[in-house]
Amino acid sequence: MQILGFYITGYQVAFVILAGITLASAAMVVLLPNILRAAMFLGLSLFCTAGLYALMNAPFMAAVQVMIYVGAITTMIILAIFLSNRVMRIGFAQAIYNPLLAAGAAGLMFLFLFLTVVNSVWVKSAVAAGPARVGQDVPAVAQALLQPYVFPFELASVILLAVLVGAVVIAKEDVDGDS
Amino acid sequence: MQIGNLIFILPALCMSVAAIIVLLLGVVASKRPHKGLDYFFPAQYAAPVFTAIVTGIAGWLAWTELAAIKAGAFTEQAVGLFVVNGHAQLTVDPFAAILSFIAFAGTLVVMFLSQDHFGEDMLHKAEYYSLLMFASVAASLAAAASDLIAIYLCIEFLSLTSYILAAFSKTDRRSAEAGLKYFLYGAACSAVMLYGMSILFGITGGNTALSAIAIGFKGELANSAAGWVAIMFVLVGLGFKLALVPFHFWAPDTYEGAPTPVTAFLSVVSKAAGLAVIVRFLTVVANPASPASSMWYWMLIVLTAVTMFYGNMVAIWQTNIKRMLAYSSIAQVGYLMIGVLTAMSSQVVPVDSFSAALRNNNKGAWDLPGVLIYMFAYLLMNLGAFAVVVVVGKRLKSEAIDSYSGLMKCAPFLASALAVFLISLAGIPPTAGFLGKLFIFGGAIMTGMDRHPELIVLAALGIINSVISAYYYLNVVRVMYFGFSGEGEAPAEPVRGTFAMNTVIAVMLFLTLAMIIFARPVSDMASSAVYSGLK
Repeated sequence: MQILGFYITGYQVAFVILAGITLASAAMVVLLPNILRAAMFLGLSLFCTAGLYALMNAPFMAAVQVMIYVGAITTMIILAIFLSNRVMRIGFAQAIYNPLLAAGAAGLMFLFLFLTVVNSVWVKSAVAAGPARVGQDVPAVAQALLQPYVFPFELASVILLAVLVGAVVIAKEDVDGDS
Repeated sequence: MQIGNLIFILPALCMSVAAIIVLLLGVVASKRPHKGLDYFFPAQYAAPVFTAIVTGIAGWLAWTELAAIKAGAFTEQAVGLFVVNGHAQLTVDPFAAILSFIAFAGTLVVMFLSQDHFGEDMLHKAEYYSLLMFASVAASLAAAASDLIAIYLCIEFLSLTSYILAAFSKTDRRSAEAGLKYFLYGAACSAVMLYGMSILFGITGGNTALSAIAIGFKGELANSAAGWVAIMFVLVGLGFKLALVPFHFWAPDTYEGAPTPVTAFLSVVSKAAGLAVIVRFLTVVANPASPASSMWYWMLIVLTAVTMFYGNMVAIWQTNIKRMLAYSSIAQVGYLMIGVLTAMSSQVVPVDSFSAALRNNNKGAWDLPGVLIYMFAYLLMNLGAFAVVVVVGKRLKSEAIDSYSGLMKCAPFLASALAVFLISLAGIPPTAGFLGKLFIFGGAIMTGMDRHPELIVLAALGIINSVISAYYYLNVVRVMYFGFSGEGEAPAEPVRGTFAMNTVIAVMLFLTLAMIIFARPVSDMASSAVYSGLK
């Protein structure tokens, strides 16, 4: 397809739409005063990120992103908001004391990182440069997790155990008088 | 990978199992408080028993590794675990083994402190002790981590458990504030670190092992903007763990608000882990050719100097002893960083692994042995000081320096022990702190005379800072011995620690004073841990 003299592929159109929604909803998360709506937009932003993964030929990552981030984490956040009804009632003033300064600092940081990314040479690894292996990435991930990367995999499970215990201790309502 | 290699992480494995056992014991014991299992083997006794065994194993492991090195039968491959394409994810070299021993020993002392601080009727005690044990596992693995994924997971494991421990006193608002502040800063810093790691992963062609990255990360790449950003971002995360200025903002409030034993843990064990990672990262990856050509070397030199001055200058004005120790521990990290930077500057050719970096180094260099010695001395004197603060704080219900006035009269043992620990922190002979500083500053000056004059400046600033720190450390000693500005009333009742606490303090006191007598074997051990062997 040709628009204004530029040749544009469907891939690029999809990328621009997904990236646009991701950024716009991420901005809404920061700017909206109502925390429930902010959480909803967070879900949308994460969902579009999953779309970006799918575009980058990583369907497994996309599926994981939808299941864990959109499915589990966003639901948990919304559930937590519903359960703590005090948060529901008060308007959540977002604490940006100096929006101009904040925007300026964030903009400078963006410019800096953007120029860095554009100006560097990215070495393509053999895996990334090879032919797309559709349908093979799940076995590959599974094998990587249980063979070379078994240490991080096992360590992550210990971390999850410790953090779950900690979360219960912090969140539990203690009976008065026995602390 | 051979199963036999797992023996190198045996202490961490045993500790994880023990932590789960303590957790289960807690579930069983909570059914009948003060009876049955809770009476005979409660968590506050089970945890130190297990930790003592694990500390023993870790000490034995470090000892046998040193012995094997002396015999000359040691290769880096032998101590590498979970090897992918020839690059190990964990490298339990003697440096890691000794730091992991320090982490477990520190945790053991922190447990004794916790027993005294929280008492028997602590709420969720099984959970508290098992989290402490998990945190020590993270610290010991971080000491050996030589792969970006392993480093990130270990640092994050340590951080997550530390956030919970800092917020553990739920009835105390300051504790909640401590945990929350630590968590918010920690989350931001670890996100930045992860971003830096992803850039490092990208520009070196998809490598996560430090030694593999070191091969790709040379020449132009290391001096490119992306390389610079990657290194700086990773250093943000590590700087946060070490509370280096300007990533220290969480430290004073967290240290003051957290339960005192947790503060002791954060200021010693957590820093030992961060130090191990930063040493490995700086000497292997972030050291492309000559350090003087890399921007972050100069940046770290400036940050080290600022860290020392900031920590000491602010510590002078503190009236709360925990807050004073918090700021002073920021300065202490500055001294340790001098040793790390000296080790970094000793490199003249790019290296692919930590042991290669050590082989290039001057065999008689004092820098990394100095870091090990100072870390051990810091463990003794800082935990010792915190032990006295726990005992006195519990009896007097106060952490103000004023309340220490006249402590000499009512608690001569505690007061003299605290005096020795503070003198050691100031680096005055004949204490362990002096030995550590001698090695670190001496090493910096020796390397500085050779080719890096900026290190001499850094050592001179370190000595100036030691003098500044002596002012506020000795001020506490003055208050204890001569009372505070006329108003000094000795506490009505004598302050006494329990038998266990007095024993712990006495052992630390003995080691703080004895280290200088055994200076020769200690320094021999530290330098053979760092330099000899590994082929």
